[in-house]
Amino acid sequence: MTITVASGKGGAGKTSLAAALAASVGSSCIVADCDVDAANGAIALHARLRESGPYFAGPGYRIEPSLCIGCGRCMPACRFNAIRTDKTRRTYLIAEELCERCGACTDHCPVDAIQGFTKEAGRLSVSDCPLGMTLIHAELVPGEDTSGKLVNQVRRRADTINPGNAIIIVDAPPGIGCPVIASLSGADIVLLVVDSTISGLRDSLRLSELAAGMDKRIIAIINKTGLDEEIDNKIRVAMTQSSIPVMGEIPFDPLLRSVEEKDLTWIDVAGEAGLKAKAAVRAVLEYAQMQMIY
Amino acid sequence: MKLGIPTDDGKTVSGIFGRANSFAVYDTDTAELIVLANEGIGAEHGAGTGAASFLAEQGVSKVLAPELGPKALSALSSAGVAVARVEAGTKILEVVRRA
Repeated sequence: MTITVASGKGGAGKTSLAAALAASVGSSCIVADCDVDAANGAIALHARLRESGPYFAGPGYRIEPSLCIGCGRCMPACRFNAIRTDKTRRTYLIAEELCERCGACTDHCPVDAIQGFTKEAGRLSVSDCPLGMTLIHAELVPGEDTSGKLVNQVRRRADTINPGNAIIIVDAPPGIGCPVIASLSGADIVLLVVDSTISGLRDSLRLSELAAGMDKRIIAIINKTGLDEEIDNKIRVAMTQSSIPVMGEIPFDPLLRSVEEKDLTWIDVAGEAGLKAKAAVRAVLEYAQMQMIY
Repeated sequence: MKLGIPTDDGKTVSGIFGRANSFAVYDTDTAELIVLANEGIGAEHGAGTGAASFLAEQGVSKVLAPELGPKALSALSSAGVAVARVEAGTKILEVVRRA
């Protein structure tokens, strides 16, 4: 059973909610932090590194100066204007920051001076959490953008570790692009975290459109309610219109944020916000249980 | 007609499409089944569209998969490839027998 926590928007509470879910399930669950551009599941779950290995992206392309004859045929082949002349040496070079790694230039080089290379673009790690669950997480080197592939590797590692019937909680990145699609694929349930703001609603509807196109079961939790009654209502109506069952609402409360500075998650918070978070998380798990039976 | 099915182990349907390890291609006319490695598995982006174009090039006219991303779906439809759902984990032989 895989539950993917997604929102479309950043800062909606995905990671915190994923941590709270994991804490409720307990030691048998596996958490896959797929927000590889800004992974913070390890912080939320106070994880300790068990093992870590390099992640190789590629290929990137470079022009070997000793082989380049300076014919310039590669330059018009590049649709991203990443190839420039090196006037002093009468050869060409690829600006790495502009290169989209399509490799079109290699087809046009008459002397095979353009070579592919792989490089370490990040790390894929497995960590242990004090509450007993296993966390799979990864981190990209700043500036690298190869996240769909890395997300896929995080997901596959989580599936490998799964003894068979564990609950896997996937913490998706924000947005609706490649790494998000990789986070949704294979998920049994998509838990939409709706930030109770205008952009939170817009982005969650975009995400739900994407997930619905992939035939996903979508459920929602509305986060940070009570700040603006009008927006709260708008979101409730929108969820009903989209036939997305709302598992709970969590009111805005600075206490929720403060627990993460200690070794706790939202379900440990005293007061209304904590109780509602706990109830929402329990409702999600009951829903998941029902999906497993039927 | 040729059918394309994503598979990780060569025997059962994979839960994912674009980054499955390989694709089973079954020819309903000759009853020939081949498994082709997915060379796009390591693509940074666009694994779904890459897989769609690979299968279209193989002459596949119908893809059977548990789910497809939005880009893979639109690539398949613009290549005129039909799509049908099958459950992940189903045996490939079972899928082609039913087809």
